[in-house]
Amino acid sequence: MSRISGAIHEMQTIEESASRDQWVNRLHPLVKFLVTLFYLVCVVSCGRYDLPRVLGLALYPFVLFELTDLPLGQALCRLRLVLPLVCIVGIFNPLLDRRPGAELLGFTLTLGLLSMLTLMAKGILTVLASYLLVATTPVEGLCAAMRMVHIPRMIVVEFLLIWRYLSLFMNEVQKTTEAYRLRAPGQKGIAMKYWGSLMGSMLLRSIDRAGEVYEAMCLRGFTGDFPSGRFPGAGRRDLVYLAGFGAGILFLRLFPVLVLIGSIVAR
Amino acid sequence: MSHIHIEVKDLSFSYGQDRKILDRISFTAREKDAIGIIGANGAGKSTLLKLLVGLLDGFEGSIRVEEIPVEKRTLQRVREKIGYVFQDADNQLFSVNVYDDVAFGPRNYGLPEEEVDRRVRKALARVHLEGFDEKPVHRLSGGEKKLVSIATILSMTPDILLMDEPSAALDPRNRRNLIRILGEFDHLKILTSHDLDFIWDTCSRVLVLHQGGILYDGDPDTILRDEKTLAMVGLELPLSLTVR
Amino acid sequence: MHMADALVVPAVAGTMYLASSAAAGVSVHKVKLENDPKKIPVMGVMGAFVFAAQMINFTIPGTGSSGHLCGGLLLTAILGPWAGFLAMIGVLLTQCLFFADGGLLALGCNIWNMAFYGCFVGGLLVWKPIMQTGASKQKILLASVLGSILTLQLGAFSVVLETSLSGITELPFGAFVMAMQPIHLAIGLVEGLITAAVLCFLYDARPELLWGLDRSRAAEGRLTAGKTLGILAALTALTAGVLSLFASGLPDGLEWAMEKTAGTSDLVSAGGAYDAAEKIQNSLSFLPDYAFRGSESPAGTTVSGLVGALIVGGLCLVTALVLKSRKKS
Repeated sequence: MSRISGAIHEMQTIEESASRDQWVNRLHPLVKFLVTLFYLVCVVSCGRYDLPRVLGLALYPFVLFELTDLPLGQALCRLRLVLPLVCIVGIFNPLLDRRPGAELLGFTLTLGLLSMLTLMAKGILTVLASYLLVATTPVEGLCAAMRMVHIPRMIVVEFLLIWRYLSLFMNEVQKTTEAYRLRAPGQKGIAMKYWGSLMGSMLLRSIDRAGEVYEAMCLRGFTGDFPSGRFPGAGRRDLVYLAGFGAGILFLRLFPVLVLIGSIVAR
Repeated sequence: MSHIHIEVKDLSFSYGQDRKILDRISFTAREKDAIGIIGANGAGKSTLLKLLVGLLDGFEGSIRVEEIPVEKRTLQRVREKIGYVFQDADNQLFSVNVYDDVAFGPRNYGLPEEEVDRRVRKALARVHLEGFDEKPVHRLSGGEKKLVSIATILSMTPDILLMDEPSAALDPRNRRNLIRILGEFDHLKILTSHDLDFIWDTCSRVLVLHQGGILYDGDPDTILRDEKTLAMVGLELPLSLTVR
Repeated sequence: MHMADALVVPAVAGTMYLASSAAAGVSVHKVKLENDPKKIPVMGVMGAFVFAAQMINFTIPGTGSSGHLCGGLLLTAILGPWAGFLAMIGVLLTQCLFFADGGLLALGCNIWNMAFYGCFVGGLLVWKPIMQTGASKQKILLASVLGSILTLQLGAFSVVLETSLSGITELPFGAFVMAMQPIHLAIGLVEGLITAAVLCFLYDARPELLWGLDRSRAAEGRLTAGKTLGILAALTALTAGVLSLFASGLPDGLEWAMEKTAGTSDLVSAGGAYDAAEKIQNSLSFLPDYAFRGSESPAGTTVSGLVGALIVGGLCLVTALVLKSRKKS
C-alpha cells in the first residue's frame, strides 16, 4: 500500500472509530480534551530516570483501551512517524551515560539505559493518549473543544476546511502519481523535469477549486465569519469522568504506585 | 399570466479583452418555467448562470431577479431568492458533516437554531436523504453529494433554482432520482446541460446558446428533434429520441 | 522533523505554545485587517493541498532518495506570511491529531520550528525583499532555495535547542547540532528546489497568484543563472558557517566541536555510532555530574518499581484476557 492510500485508510478508520456510538464517544469533547492534555503533561513531566512512574501512568491508556475496545495495534502503528526522532535523541543515552542506575535480576541497568527506556515509554504513552482522544471524538467535537478553550475561530475553520478537503486532494495526488508511475515504470519518485509542472498544475486546479468554494460560500450568505451551531454543555457524567480520570492520573503521577507494590511484594 | 421572475435585457459579457462570450442576449423566465440551457463547450452556459446570481461583475445590459436589479448592493437580497447548485458538488460542500453544510446558509441569515434545524430536516427530506445529517461529507458517494448540494440550497427556501450540469457524473439510478426531485421542485428552475436526455426529461423550455447569442428559445420537442440545428451547435439528438 | 511530546518538558512546551500563540494572534489580527473574506476558504483549501502535496516523492537526481515540498514557504508565496502561517497551523494541527506526526503538547514547538520560520523568515525576510524589486524565475529560485535552507536550518536548530533544554538527551548540544544541521542543509536545498519548480510554473502560468511580486518592475528582475548560483552558494556557505560557529560557541559543544569535528559523520551512520559515542563520552568525562542534580538517586526505587511494573502488567494482562473472553461469550 502506498503512503497516500495508507494515510487515506488511516483517516477513514479513525473517523469510523470516532463516530461509534459508545459512552466514551458520547462524553463531552472538552472533558476528553482536558483529561488528555492533563495526562500528557503528567507523563512528560516525569523525571528522566523515573521509569516506574511513567510505567505506572500506562494504566490510563490501558483502562481506556479496555473500555473502548479500540485496536491497540493500529494505535501503535502511529508511532512510526515520531519514533525516529525520539530514537535519535534517546539512542545515545545508554552509550554516553554508563553510571549504574539499578540492579535487576543480576543485570546492571545503567542510568543511560534507564533514561532511554523512560523516553521511549513516554513516547509511546503520549502517542497512545492522543490516539485515544481522536479515536473517540469526532472532528466537530474537537473543534468545539478548541473553540471553548478560545482558539481563534479562524484557525478552527481552517482546520475544518483542511480536514474536509484533505481526502479529496490525497485522492487527486494519488491518481496523478499513479498515472505518472504507469508511464514511468521503475522510477522511485517524480523526475526533476516534471517537478514544477506536475505539482504546479495540481496547485492551479486547487486554487480554482478554492475560488469556487468561496463563491459557494458567498451565495449562501458568507461575509467572512463562520456561523457555529449549538454545543451542549457538560452533563453529570462528563464531570464524573473529568474528576475520576483526573484524580486517577494525578494519583499515578504523584505516587510511584509500582514502586510501592514492588517493595511490598519484595518484603 | 404568471409572475415574471427573471428578466434579462441586452446582456453582454466578456472575460478580459477576449471576444464577447455573451452578446446582447435577452429573455424572461416565469414562475413555473423549467428552462434548459444547451450549447457546446464554451458557449457561455455557466457564465450566464453565474451572471444571474451576481458571481461575475462587469457585464453590460440589465438583469432583474424578482424586480430587483442584480448589482453589488442588492446581492444579498438577490441571493436569498435564487439558489445556485455548482457542477462540482465538492466545491459546494465545504463543511465536515452534512448537517452543518445544509445549515450554513440559514445560519448565515441569522435564523434561530430551532428554525435552522427544521429547515435542515425538511431540505434533507426533500432530497430523500433523511438520516444523513451526521454523515461526513467526504464519505458520501458522488450521487449523494449532488443531492446534499441541492439540499444546501433548498434549506434557504429559494424561489428560483439554478443548476450547472446537474446530471454530470451521475449513475443511472441517481440520475433518475435527481429527475424526480427536480420534478418535485415546483418553482422556476434553470439548468445547463450537455445531457439532452436529461433536458428532455426535466425541462419545459429550451434556450440554445450559440456564438454569444440565443439561437433558439422554445419548447423542447421541436429543438431536440432538430438534428440539423443541434449538429450546427455541436450537439447530437438525445439517445431516447434516436432509439424511437 | 516533527517533534514528539516525549521530547519536551512542560516548561519548554508551554513557552513555545506562548510564542506560537502570540504569532498566531498577530496573524489572525492581520488577516482580519486585510478584510478579504476569500482568504478563509483559500487558506483551508491550500492547506489541504500542501498537506497532500507533501506526500509526493520527488526523485533527487544522482541519488537514490527523494524529497518533498517546503509547505510554509509555498503557502507564504501564495497567501502572504500571515494567512500562510495560519494555514500551516491548520496543517500541523491535522498532522498531529490525526496522523500522530508530532505531538499535541509539542505542537507549539512544531508550529514555531516549521510554520514560523517558513512563513516569517522564509516568506517575510527572504521572499518578500527579493521579489520586491521585480520578479524573475532566477529570483524565484534564489528566494525559494535560500528561504528553504534558512527555514530548515533554524527549524533543526530549534529542535536541538528545545530537546536539550528539556534535558531529554545525553547527547551533548554541539554533537546534536552537528548531527542535525548538515542533514537539514541538504534537505533544505532539495525542498527549496522543489518549491522553486512549483513557483516558477505558477509564475509562468498565473503570475498574479504570487504574493509580494511587484509586476510593474518585472523587467528589472532579471538575474543571470551564473549570478543566481553564485549568490546561492555564497549565502548557503554563510548560513552554514554562522550556524556552526554559533553552535560551537556554546560551552558544552566547544570542546567536542574543536576536537572531534572530523568524526561527525559517524554519528548519523549506524555502524560507527558506537565508536563515535565512546569518543564523545571520553571527551566529556570532565563535565560535572549534572544529571544527578535535583533528582534523588534512582537506584533504590527503580528496582522495586520495575518489580511492581511486572506484577501490575501481569494483572492487567489477566484482566484484559478475562474481559475479552467474557465479551466473546
